[in-house]
Amino acid sequence: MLAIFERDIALAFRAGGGAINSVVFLALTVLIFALAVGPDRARLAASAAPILWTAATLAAMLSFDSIFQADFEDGSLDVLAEATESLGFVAVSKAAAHWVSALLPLILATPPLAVLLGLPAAAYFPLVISLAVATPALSLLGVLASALALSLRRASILMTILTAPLLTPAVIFGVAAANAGAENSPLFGPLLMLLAAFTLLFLIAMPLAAGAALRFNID
Amino acid sequence: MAFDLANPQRFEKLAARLVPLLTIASGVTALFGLYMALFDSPADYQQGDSVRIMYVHVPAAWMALLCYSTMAIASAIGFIFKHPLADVAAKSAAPIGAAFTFLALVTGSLWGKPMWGTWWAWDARLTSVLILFFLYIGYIALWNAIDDKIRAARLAAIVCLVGFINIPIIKFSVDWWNSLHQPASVLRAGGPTIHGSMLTPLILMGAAYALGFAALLLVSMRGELAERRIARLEQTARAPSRATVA
Amino acid sequence: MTDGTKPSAPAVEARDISLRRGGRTIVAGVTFAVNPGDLYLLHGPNGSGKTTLLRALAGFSRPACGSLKRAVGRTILLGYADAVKAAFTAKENIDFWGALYGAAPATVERAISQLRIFPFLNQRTGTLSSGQRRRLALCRVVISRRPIWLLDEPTAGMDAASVAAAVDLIAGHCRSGGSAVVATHEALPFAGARTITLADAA
Repeated sequence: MLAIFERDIALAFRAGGGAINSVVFLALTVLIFALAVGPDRARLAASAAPILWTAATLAAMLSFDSIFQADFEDGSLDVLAEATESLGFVAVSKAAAHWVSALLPLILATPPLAVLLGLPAAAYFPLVISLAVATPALSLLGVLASALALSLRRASILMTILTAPLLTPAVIFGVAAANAGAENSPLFGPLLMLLAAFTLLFLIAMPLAAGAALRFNID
Repeated sequence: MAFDLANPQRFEKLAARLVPLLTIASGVTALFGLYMALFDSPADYQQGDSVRIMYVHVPAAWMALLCYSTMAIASAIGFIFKHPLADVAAKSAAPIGAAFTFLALVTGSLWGKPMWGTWWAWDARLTSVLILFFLYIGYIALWNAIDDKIRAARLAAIVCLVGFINIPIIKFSVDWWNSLHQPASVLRAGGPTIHGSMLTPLILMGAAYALGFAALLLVSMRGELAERRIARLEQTARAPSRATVA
Repeated sequence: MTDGTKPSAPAVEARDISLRRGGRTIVAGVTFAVNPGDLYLLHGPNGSGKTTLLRALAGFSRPACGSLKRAVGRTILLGYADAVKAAFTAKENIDFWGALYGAAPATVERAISQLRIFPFLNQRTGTLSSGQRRRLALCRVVISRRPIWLLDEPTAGMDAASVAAAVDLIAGHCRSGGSAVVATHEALPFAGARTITLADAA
């Protein structure tokens, strides 16, 4: 529902911290990777797309367990569940709001950081596109992880860890697409479509699963 | 609440009868299978005797998938029909499936070194089986993290069913992608391409593993039921409130 | 406020229901019906299941036994928590609820005046007193325009004047064809209210 989406965006901007924390984490992760790879410019440039993809995924994962936490604690989740009678739609709205407020800033922060890693010019567009197509799947997975995590008073990060295996196709195909695009390989288009199909699959499956998880956690 | 786990007598009686039978059947089949595998079947013309690790590795991989499928079906039954034994079955199958997956990964690695020259490769099948292992671990961790047993069952069922997409990926990964791992030679359209003298011990070992799994599952379920009974006895029972409407 | 249903059909009907919470049966054998105009007061000591019963009536959980018939989308629950966003002003919370329930601006205005929200309308709710937040939470109930109110301690933290206003609001709602089930520890002066008392079986 549009109302939930708009409210979440407004709350995200009001609270401020979240997106900035994610971007800072992204930058720090890139820094650590860059230091670990070492000063060899060729190696760094070759690793740039995988590093950025990994850092973006990790930063995204950190933002998952707060998706439903606040609403659960102040009783708003009950209100949403009761008002819409369809938790699947709540899940989709939440995922959309999460993508805009948490993941879009990461995507926008990627090109400047890519400069630091010496990413070749042809690789920028494929990298950003691959992230843009795959990150909605991350938000959708995050919604499921957060919905499951409501049962865990402590260690809600556990849910993110448990559902992380489901992210692996996005990472595998995402980096492959970014690299294929950089080399102008004919695989670029098909890989992007595979990523898009994966995101669409999540769009169908995750709200269903998250809705079920929410129903059991609202109880 | 038609089913009462506090008194699962029918299941207990069935399990008491089946477990010894299954264990013996598993042991006997394993003996035959191992004999054929180690002595009666031919060595490979290329790999020599190291091919015999196939007889441990391949059935383990089959069981990894079979256990997960069992978990998924039990989870679905528990979800839809709310039968508490289904939840117990799903929970009990997980550690066994995880062990089989681990066995498959390790024996595969031991076989891969002489055959491919490497302990590991990030090809589609190995990667997806590794992911399967993580899914098992995650499933078990989820059960342990939530106190309310019914809620744990439902949430774990969701995770299990969402992860089920991995099973067809594992099965067909060797067909869809050029893979280091060899393509399917037993369970494939058009029948097995493997010779009978190798197929028979393979099937025997598979049967032995499956019977063993069934036995272990029943034993594990009995243990879980006993634990729940103890927990219920330890709980101080308080009568429910009654309502007076005026 | 009721439409389409036979005038004699209750909006919520519970027959011999049992409710479970945390693995044990917390309430058993509850039977009553909520008809338009009914006002029930729900009493009982802590832990007797008042909140669990209200949540079951609201549709959050299914009874373990018995039958619970409820008109979907016609109940609104005011839970123990206020469900108010601290980072928003009162007005922003109200606007969100208006969008969520699809309420006309007139309905929203009426809610604001009935619950006297105007004095702190543009104040961030994080800075309000608990009584003021509770009044704001009651606003949501009015905005939803749903006929069956399920209220869990609606007057918690309110001063005497606010309590009186809340009592008037609920009584007025029932007089005009709505209904309410109010769980409360306080002795609220509702005339002609029926009671449901939850007590341990001796």
